[in-house]
Amino acid sequence: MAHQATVNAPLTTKELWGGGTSPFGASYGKLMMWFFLLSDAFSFSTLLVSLGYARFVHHASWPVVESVFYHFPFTHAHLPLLYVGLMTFILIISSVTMVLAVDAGHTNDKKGVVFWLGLTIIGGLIFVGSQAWEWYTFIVGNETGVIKDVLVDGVVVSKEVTGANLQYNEYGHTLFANFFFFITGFHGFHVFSGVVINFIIWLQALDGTLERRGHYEMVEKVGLYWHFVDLVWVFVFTFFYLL
Amino acid sequence: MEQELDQSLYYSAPHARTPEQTKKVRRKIVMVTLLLSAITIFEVVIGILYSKTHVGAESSTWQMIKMMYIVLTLIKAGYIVIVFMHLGDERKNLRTTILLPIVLLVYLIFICLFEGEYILQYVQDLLK
Repeated sequence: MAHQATVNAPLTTKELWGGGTSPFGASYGKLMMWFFLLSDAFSFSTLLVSLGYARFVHHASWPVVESVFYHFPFTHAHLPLLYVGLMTFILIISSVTMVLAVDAGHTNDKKGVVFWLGLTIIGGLIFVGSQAWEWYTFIVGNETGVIKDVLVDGVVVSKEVTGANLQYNEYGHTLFANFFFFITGFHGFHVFSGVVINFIIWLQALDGTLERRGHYEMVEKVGLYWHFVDLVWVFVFTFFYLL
Repeated sequence: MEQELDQSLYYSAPHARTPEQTKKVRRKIVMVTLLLSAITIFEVVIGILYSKTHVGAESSTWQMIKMMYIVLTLIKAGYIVIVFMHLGDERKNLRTTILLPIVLLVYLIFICLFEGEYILQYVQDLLK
């Protein structure tokens, strides 16, 4: 491990870019994960910025979000924001268990990696399940609908609307439901793929593949992805639900 | 040749750590966890007690709460990126490469929100 000792030492420009070393002090795979995450950050940013644009244009017909998301499982009480807050909390905790898994990987602690990565997968599954429940509640809507002028086959008709679909919804402007489906759907799909990728790496840690490789960098790479998913949710939580 | 085959080996070798170092790392993780949870709980409580319908969407209180939400979000994001994703431990040129392009978003947000406000005004004037 002669290289290991020199990785974090300050190097001259010539040593850095002269070849034979990584100027970033990171492996190819980790660097590419960072670049992928940067491009993904731009995808999510454009979605959230266009949400901001739509909210500014349709200021009057945009619903107050806490009057839409007030349901909580197993109760009919009016609890605004509480369920989304709980989902945020679950995702943050699963991010913490991922940090602990990466940390266990740094010391080659196989048991630790398997335990913490397993908990992360469970947290991710709970989050995806919560999102499915929220989508269901959003689509079905309340018992009492709202009379609205909607476009059906190119003709404007007055109609009782319950719940939401891509054409119209009972809550407010059409774009409100569209952005809800698109943003939380795009994020939910990221969480789902994250769970699948975590599961694959968990299996590799369990059967000793990573141990034989001599390092647990794969855990670090999927960890970066998982933290990014948590990071995106922090922004979605603020810009879709809180504001 | 070997370096190209498994380059990660040079940068991800297991670190030998004293129990004190482990304790220090764990404590940092716990502190950041508590901070992130506290901010989230605070946001939800504020959202329930001072809801938009309650204080009024046009009131200065709501404008202040809005700004506070954005600042708290950026604080949370900073802690996730710097501590959880270990970007703070990376070399300076990697940090710059990742963080500098984000600055472009400031311009995108600026033009989109101003354009949105203009369109709203335009349509309102048209309907007058």
